[in-house]
Amino acid sequence: MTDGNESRTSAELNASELRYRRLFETAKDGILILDAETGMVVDVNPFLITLLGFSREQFLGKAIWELGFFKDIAANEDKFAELREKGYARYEHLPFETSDGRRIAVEFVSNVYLVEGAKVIQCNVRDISARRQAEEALSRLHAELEDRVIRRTAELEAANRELEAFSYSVSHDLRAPLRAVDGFSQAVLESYGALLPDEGRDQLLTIRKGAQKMGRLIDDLLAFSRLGRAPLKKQPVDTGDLVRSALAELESQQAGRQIDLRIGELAGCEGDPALLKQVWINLLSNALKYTRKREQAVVEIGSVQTNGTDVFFVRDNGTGFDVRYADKLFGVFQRLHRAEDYEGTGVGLAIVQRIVHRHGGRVWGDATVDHGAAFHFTLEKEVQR
Amino acid sequence: MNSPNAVELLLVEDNPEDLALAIRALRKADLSNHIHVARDGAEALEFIFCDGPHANRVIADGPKVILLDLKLPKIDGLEVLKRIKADPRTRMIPVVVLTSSKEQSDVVKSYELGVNSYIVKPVNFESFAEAVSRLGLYWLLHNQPPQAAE
Repeated sequence: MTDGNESRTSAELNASELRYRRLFETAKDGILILDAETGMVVDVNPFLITLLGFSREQFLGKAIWELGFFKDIAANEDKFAELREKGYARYEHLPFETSDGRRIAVEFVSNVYLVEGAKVIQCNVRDISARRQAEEALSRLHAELEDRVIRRTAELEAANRELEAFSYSVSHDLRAPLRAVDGFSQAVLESYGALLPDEGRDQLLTIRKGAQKMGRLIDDLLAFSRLGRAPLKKQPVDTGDLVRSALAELESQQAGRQIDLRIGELAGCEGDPALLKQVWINLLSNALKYTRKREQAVVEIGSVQTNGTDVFFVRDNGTGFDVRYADKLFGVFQRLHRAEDYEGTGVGLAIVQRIVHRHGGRVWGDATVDHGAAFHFTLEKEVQR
Repeated sequence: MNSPNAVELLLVEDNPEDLALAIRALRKADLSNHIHVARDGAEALEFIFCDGPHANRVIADGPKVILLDLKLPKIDGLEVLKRIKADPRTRMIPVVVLTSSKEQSDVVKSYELGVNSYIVKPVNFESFAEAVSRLGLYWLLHNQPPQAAE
């Protein structure tokens, strides 16, 4: 009985020993077994032998601090004593040197445990060089990217500053000569107007008109360029309020006219209220302008939901435009009407488009000549269905 | 303040055309008596603080109001404004900034420095003349300067 039991236990032990031996031999981590008293290497697995390039004989019988593959760290008896005391040590990243002088990075874990009354230390060594390299490459890429972003930002900021300096000088220096043209034409009219024939006076008035027109062009162009630079201050906006205050500012365009203003449902939105008000002012001002020759003007304002996105619109029964030129509508200084029919600098819709684009939306126009125009815009990316 | 040397209005303007137009506008509004003209910021400061060629002037002799362009040679308008408003002897003189610039930063800086009024020179001469005469009249005739402590 006893013998049988013993032999079964012995067989089980053998089987267990074999299992662990196989694990030890085939592990994809390096394993080192040390005598806890002396620090001598008792066993080393094939993976560690291959990893470090030392022979099994070079390992066996040497104290761990004599092995020479620890680099840049103190692997000495003191450290070893400390480990023995604590029973556990773990290093995320240790530099090792292989027998042929290559540097590798390892994760190093050691445990102290008892085997038949004797203290043994098992060290697991995992080669993390590839991971470290990948991490380093990643952080290098990251740093490069960061660098590039910083450089680009600096370039953009410089371009922006240049643009600001440019518009500053445009607003100062380009207007001064125009004031001279206009002012001195007026001075001639006042002081010597009586000496001039009617034609001469008319020509001076034309000069003044030209100068004043150019003044307006400069102002509009500056307003347009400023739009691209000002930060967008988004907040929830009551579109109805915005439309009403825009209409209030356009009072003079409505005075003495028959205008049927049909304000329908208007969804709220998220945006910069000052800029959005400019969008409404420009679109409504156009609607009022191009219905001027209608006995009964009709201006419809509202929003509809299309594919989950609010589409805002202004529709009128005015003079309309030829849709063949619709792509020109939103260009700076582009006009589809003659200045003597409808005044304007051709910047209004360009401003509308820039504001709408900065909000992430789009704007488009539709019309039939002599039957009115409709302008639609969104303020967010439309969901593709 | 009514000494014969008293200067009513200091016009600081470097651009000769703008200067001629401003004087024309002031003359039209009957405000052209006792105008002194400075052509850059340094000249303006010498006049106001009675330095250099103006050493025999006294600060108490005015001006009553200053029309100040912003973009000036040597010392710019904002710096001139800053020095006027920083000195207790000149701080009370009304300063009207008169410039082509519609740039928001100029407007904000001028008000921060204590400007009394700010007008953008329009291209249209009538509007320019009207703005100049309105301001000149307002500051010269209606705006009572505080009693000097003398």
